[in-house]
Amino acid sequence: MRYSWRYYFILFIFAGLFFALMWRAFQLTALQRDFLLAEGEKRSTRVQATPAHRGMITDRYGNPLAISTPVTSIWINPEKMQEVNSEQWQTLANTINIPLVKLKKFVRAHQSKHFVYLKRRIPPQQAEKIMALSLPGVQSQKEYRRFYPKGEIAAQWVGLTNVDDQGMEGMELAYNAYLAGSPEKYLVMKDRQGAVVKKLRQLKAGQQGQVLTLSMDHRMQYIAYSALYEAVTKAKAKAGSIVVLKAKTGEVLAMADVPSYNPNNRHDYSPERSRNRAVTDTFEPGSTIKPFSALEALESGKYTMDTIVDTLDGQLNVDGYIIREHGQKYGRIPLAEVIKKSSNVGIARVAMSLPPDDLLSTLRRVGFGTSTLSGFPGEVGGRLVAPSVWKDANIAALSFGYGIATTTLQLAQAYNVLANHGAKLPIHLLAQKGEPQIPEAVFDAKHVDALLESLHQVVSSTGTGSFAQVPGYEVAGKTGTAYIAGAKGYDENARHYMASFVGMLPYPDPELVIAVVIRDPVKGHYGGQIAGPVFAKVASSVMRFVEESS
Amino acid sequence: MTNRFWQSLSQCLKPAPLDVPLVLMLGLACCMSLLILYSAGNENMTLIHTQLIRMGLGVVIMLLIGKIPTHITFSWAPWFYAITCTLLVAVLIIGVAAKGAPRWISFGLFRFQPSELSKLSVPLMLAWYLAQHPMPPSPKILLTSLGLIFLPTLLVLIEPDLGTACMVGMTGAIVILLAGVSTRLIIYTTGMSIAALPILWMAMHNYQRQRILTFLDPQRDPLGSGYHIIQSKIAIGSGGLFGKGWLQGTQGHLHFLPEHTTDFIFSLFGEEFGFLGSLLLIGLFIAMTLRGLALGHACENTFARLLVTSLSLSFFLSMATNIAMVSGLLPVVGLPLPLISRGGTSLVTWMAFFGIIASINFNKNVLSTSQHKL
Repeated sequence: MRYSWRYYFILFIFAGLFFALMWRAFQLTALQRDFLLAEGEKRSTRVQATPAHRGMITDRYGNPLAISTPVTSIWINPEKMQEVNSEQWQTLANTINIPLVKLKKFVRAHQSKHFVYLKRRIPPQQAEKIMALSLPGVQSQKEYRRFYPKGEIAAQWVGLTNVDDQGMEGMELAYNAYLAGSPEKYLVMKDRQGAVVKKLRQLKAGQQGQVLTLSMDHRMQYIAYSALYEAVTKAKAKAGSIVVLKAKTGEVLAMADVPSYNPNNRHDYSPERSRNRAVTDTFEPGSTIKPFSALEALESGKYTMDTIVDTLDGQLNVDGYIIREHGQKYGRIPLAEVIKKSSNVGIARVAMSLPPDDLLSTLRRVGFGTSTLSGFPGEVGGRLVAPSVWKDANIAALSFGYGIATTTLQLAQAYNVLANHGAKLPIHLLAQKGEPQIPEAVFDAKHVDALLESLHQVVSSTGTGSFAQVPGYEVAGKTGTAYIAGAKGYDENARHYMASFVGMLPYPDPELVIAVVIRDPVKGHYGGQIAGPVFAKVASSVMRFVEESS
Repeated sequence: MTNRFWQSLSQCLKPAPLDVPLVLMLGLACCMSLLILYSAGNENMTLIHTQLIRMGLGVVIMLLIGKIPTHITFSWAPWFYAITCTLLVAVLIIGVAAKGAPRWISFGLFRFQPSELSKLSVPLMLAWYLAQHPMPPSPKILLTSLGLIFLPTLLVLIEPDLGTACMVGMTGAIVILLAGVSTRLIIYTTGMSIAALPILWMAMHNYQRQRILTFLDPQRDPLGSGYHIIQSKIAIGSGGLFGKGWLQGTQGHLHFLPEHTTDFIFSLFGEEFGFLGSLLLIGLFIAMTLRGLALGHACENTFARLLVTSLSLSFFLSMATNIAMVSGLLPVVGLPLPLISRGGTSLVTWMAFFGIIASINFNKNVLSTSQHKL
């Protein structure tokens, strides 16, 4: 049998087809291989990070202030869920605790998506039950949830993490990297639905987050917060803050703010409540500055605590500004009495008799005008600047605490210099191990001790700080009552005050420094009256723990 | 009498004498199919069992067809063609839809695609028709032949099943070409087809134009219609020379590759067994085609020769179209890879093809005694 040329023509075409196919296969598998291989990997390999367990934040004795507990988030691929039958829908709804109708409506609403969280942060046991159903399109993701056992009492200091477990505020933010550790990174193979098929290799070893030990004593923190809260509520004040310092080490034992919030309930959160006012808010301190003006006088050599100061008839006109006393006229009194009675005229006259830059330098030496470097996020250094030309009015105002802005923590730090007999210690928010640092002497101990004695007198029954007396302990301290500057300056009729008290105990060698600042009280306004009792209440409870530990 | 009964019974039960090399290659192809289907189905044995049952059914049909003398095949051809056309009409009325198009007729226990049958019945019918007329066929005969191709092709096209319709049309064209057409006519037809392209383009629906444009450049629409072909090229290309290894193909197993048990099975094959594996598979198909052509060459009458040759070439063409499609040389129209892809009707039809091809020479003596000497 013979074939026509057509047969061979057809064979030729088919042979051509064959070679075209082979060439194509060669083209794809050899010439474009690397490109196509890379394209394939782009589609199937992903870097997956397994979150590290965020470290705990504890107080100085290891009591937890912030803990991470493992939780699981369930996410779905609605497109893939079309394969779920009605019986499975019902089981899923029951297990996840969402009514079936609502669940179906939710899935339908996200029909065009490939990734939707169905429920975030549920207990791992519940998640396991859901995953055991092995429904198409339902996936889980391991996460951690942050829990704050102490709630509102230490909310501002400890801070807060966001939904992605990153520090947002407070120590959570300041030490985020230390607490967070680093996630373990794996190269994984994922299928089209995004489910991990297998782990290919580890890219980076993870590191668990570390424990952060604050200098806080959680019992003192509780006492400080409760007393402050009670006083702020009672006086119908706007806000308040309190700092308790361990005098010998500079560690902050308690630092609380009112108003506060519960960090475990995000609905409770507002920037106003979450701000750590003790370090972020400044105010004009008023009379609590006076001891440092007196210290300047002692250091100048021109004054002793017994030097007589003429307070005139309770009124002093400086460059047209009238300086008045809070109470009655004092007449000619020694410097010690000026402090004890908190005489504005007296301390102004003393300051005006000395070089103005000396007062500035004294205030700077105890830490006013610069941040304490505690490391707290958003900490401010307050304001203390020399005017371009010193006028008597500037000097006078500064001597009793106007024209200077400070934080509660700075105030505590300054009094800690007095508590350490003239030596300055850095402020610590973390627990300090080993021997305390050798403090830097910034004032003559003799002068400081003389000043302490008059501060001790402040808290006598005849001083301004009589409300701050603590049964069983000798206390030294100073009251402060300052006008809050408004739009029209210091308006006496507006009656907005900053009531403060800073105290040290036990006198003469204090272990603790406690600064209490209450903003804008309505019922009463004197520092001794409003802030003094808070000090007394906190100090009496807290001293127990100091004696216990020593 | 009893003796005679037993004799005829054993005659019936005796396996059909089939061409041994072709049957061996067919068996090898089936093994390859099972191997890759096991991987494609994510090591699911149910898929393998189903396909094994289909293969068994295919073998039975092949053996039965192999026992049919050529003159019977010849005389049944028009009936077979008529039945196919009836079924094609029926599928339009009572067809069962799967993935959008009603292509199946359900018989309760199983369902099948009549369009697959037309791949066999069209060459049968044409061979039957053309063999009764002198070669090369006259224009009138040619026109009737075209009509015979056109009817089932149109029926398949409106199902709609563009891929199979093209295959049916091309299979018919092969028979006509083999029967002999004047060179001038071929040139004319080719020229007119090329001239008609712009008109065709104008007449197309917008989505059809989009599809062609996407075929020319899949990156135009990487998440839509270009998605299949991009994933498929990635699969074949990433296999390299030796492949990623059996059960190791990521594109298929991670569900990036669409239809990886049916139309795109070659992509998975290429990914797991590489260029060499593909060469082996295509080589096997070529060998089967060549064996078929050789068997056709040996046929003594026009009907048998025409039938076997066109069936063999049709087999090759199906394979080539599928591979060209999945490797981005042709637009994706939806055609399975013969013998390898999952799917019953296709497999059984191809087994019937080989039943005819492999047995035709053993029946030639029978045919030579038949009345239709050509």
